Amino acid sequence: MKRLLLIATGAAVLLSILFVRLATARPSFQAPPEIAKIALHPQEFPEGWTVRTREGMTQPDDARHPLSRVNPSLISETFQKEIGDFLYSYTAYYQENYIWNGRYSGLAGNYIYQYASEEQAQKVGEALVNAARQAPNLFKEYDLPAKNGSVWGWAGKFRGEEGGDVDLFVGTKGPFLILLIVDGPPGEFQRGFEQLVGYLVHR
Amino acid sequence: MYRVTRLLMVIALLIMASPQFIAASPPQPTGFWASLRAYDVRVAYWTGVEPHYGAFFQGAYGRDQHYLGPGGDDATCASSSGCIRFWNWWGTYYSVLLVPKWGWLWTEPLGGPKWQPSNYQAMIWIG
Repeated sequence: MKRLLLIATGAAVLLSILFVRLATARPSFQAPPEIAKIALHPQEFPEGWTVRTREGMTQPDDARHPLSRVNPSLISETFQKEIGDFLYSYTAYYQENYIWNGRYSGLAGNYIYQYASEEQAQKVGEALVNAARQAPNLFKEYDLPAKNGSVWGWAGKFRGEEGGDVDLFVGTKGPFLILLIVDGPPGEFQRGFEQLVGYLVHR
Repeated sequence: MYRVTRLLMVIALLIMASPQFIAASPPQPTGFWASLRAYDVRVAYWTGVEPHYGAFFQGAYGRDQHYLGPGGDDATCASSSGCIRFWNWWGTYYSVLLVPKWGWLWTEPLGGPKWQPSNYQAMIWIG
């Protein structure tokens, strides 16, 4: 009888722990379906890369993504005036992929901004490319067809402030502005960047 | 007599309501310093197309920062920003310790000690 009571108590304790854990478990983030279709998928990263992903929705005042109000140097004031007041009127998604290729680590950030219309997204995309082309630290433009399928895009390579490479892809598809930024030591992630761009331009 | 008393009371009230009187009252403690560990290491902010990384602390006005991973503070001296005591603080409330890339994060596998928030410790104002 005592043994039965002990087993029953043990089972009750285990069940209550399981219940509490299930009740408090946070559901994993689910991006809106249209954004999820465009964003990079785990299987698209190069073989041999270790990838740790953090993703979520974000706001114009959040400093963790590039097209934020706190990063005015991304688009110069002149271009900002040309664009108009909708520059920061978007729904934004960030996907921070921290990467390791066996020698070095870096970041492959995929950012998607949904505007009210295709025209708005295109206008911001073009302004971004114009600003990027004028940046003194741009040292390479990738040979990318202006339009692949339904995605218009441009890509370039910059020298970072700490001496690394920053690869940038700017693309638009309908009302979506797509950015891919790969940051790491010189030359380490260029192939990977090209591979990821290859996926994004065919969205 | 009644008039004089009323006049004195009005004068006393005016003096007590003056800014000098309020400023002279003893300051109320609104916070304290605590030694805390960071809760996150991730992208902190961007300059143009380039991301910069930071160790995030709860609180404000970070100072006296230390690295608790292998090699301690001395290990940080090979980073592009020099030893950890020279690393900058960022953010409206200076609660993000900027973490360099060269000679530090870039050479560390993901999940390694340099990516671990709990390896960064600092004095933080909790208010």
